[in-house]
Amino acid sequence: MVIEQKKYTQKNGWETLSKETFKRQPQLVLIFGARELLDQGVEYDTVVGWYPQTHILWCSTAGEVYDTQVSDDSLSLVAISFETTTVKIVESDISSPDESESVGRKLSESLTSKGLIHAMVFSDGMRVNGTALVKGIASNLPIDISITGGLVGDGPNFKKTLIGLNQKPAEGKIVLIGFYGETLHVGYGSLGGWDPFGPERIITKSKDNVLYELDGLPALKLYKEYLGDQAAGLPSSGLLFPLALRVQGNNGDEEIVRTLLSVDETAQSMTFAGDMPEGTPAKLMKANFERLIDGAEKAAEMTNTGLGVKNPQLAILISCIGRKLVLKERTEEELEAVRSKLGPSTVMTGFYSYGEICPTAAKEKQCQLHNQTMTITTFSEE
Amino acid sequence: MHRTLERQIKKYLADQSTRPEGWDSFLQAISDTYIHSDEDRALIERSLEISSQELTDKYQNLRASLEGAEELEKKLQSEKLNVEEKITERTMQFNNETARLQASINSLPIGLIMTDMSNQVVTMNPAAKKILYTDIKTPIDNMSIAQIEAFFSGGLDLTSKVTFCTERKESCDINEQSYNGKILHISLTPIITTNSDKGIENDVIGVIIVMQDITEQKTIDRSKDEFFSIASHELRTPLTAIRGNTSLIQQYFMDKIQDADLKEMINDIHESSIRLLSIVDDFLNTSRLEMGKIQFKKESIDMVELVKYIIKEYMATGLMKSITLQLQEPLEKISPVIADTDRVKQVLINLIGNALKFTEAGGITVSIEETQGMFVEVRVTDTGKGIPLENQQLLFHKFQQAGSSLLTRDDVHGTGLGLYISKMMLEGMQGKIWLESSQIGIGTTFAFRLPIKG
Repeated sequence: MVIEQKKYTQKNGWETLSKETFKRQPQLVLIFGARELLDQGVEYDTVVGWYPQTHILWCSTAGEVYDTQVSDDSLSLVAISFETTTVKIVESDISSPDESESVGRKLSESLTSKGLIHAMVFSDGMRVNGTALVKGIASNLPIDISITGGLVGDGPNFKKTLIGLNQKPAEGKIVLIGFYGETLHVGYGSLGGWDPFGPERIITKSKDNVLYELDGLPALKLYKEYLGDQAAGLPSSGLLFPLALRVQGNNGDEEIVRTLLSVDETAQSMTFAGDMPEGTPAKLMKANFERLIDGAEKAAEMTNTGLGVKNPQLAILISCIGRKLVLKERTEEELEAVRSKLGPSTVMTGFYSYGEICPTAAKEKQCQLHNQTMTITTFSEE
Repeated sequence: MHRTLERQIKKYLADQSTRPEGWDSFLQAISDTYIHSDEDRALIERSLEISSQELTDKYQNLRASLEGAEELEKKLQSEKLNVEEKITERTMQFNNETARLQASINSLPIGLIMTDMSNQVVTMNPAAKKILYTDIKTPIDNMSIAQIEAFFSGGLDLTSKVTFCTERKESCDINEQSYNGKILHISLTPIITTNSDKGIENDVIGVIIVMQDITEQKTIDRSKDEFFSIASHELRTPLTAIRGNTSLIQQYFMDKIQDADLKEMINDIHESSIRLLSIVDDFLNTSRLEMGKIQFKKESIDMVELVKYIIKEYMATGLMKSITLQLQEPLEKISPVIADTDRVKQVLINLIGNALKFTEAGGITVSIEETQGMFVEVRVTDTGKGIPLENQQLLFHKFQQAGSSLLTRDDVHGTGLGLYISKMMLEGMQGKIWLESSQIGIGTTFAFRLPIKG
């Protein structure tokens, strides 16, 4: 596998971190960039000019990962030339969260199962119910095929998110990439580092991923009370208090973290990135720096466990915007923590997201939508 | 800039001239970190404070709930004791009632068996055990209707009778059931319950089977019948001789008897012998009917013609008492009945004879009509003295008369067997007799019917 990594800022233009000589044209270019830059089509033609015969995927972010750096106004690019691995990419439009499951099903139907090693999904972050999307994709893929990915972002704005596959990025897009080939090894890991606190509450009124009431009281009122002055910063400030749902899993109770996407003052409702089933116990969560950074480090360790080899060639980091809002100036510390576990040679790219998709354990294949986690997918080709 | 940082800069880096290039940006970044750190700490402290208050509130609510629950538990405990006391009391009442009922059932001279819905025996009194068998080895609780049926060695279909009772919700009888040299009368009655709370109405929960050993009664009845039969037959022979001889005396030797008292005595002997013969005939008929020794012929009878014939026979008797005797001619043609002509004649003679006996003035009317295309009904109406209400119920029983009992005698001589014999004969011919109406001083109507198709 040969990887070229570049970064663009309006101040400095393009910078190249690693310039490799491709033996063959790269099969895949991933560009994670600030929503404003993507919206304006900045450097679109340049990139297409560089990789005329390559699938180019543009994703808007809530922060671009470039090695161990985080930027809010850049383009982070990796061009990947696999030795023997092939990719197949399918895409679909989505206009409302209600379509999430059916669109997911349709996308996975389009992927050939034979020889499939792994699938990565990049989805619109505002028009999707992540839980339903994951359910739809998983329903049509073999049970031993792992799925990772994330919901793309829009900084702390939560207004519109953009994806573009071989075309200018736009809203309402979902892209699914299938990786084929026996020589490719894929690892994945996902951890949060948030701690539940305070009393356990019951979701007493909700519909799909829209929450109305906890313990019979308006959920939005509770959040405003906790946020105090920072309530003005909703919905992004709501990410400081994600909700931990206690759900029945295969091995007893499991904790699923849900993060806020938007609020509706009129309906007094809060829309989360995944389902909020009525009757589910929920607790507010808080974070501290050490636990978050420790979480990122453990996620990197998990990727090594699954991959079977250390020092992967490529790591795609998808971390939650909620973490970035808490870590602020110290956000890059979690990237450094990941680097410390992956080793110096791994190309690290990725973005801060509105939701992460990954199996719950390194050896598991059944994927779930996560929030507030550092989710890492690593690739190595023999 | 963050106040702490500002203070630290003043303290340690007062000389601005020594600061390297880019120092201000660096300090601003540190300041931002200080500020954000304060904000985060404030937010966490605030959230923990609110959360702590929430937990306190919840704890207090929990304590209040716990106290409420303890109070409720005390009440429940008290209620439980009350309920237990009531249950004990009711159980005792129930046990007493059960004991009384069981004692009553056990003391009955007749056999009683009670079954549940699944045809299992739940109660069998000693009289029933005595009737069925002497040695009880099978536990009664496990005994079924089929097992009781087995005692009769296939001679009793008790299961179908129980099914009839439970399905039709009606009682039924087995009149004479032979068993082990005994004759039993068996009655079955469904146990019907109503539980309006559960919306159950007329639900059958079992059957009561009553068994009565009627062997002795039947033996007595038969002995009595045989006695009547033999006695009557033996009485008839000398009586016939007496009547024959007195008749011969009256016919051929009356002119040789000069004494008027002697003549009267001979007439009395003759009349008494005739009456006594009639009584003996009634006894004999009764006995034969009861023993089933009379065979009924199936003849086609024109009732109008038969009635006309009888009326003609009795016309003279009527004229002697100045009583009219007539047939009310039917408006439509009457179908012939299927019956024994001689027996029907006997019935008509009995009814018309009775009417003549009990009527002193007025008349007797006989009417005939066909009903439902199945029967011919005959009504004999007189203008006699009528039958007292208290006697009406007993009319068709043995030795009962319309006026008074046989033993006390009255002005109209009779055995009190006439209507009983008529009833027996009509029933033997698939017919029926009844008192239609009777009013003191106004008159009486008797009716009977016979089938058109035998």
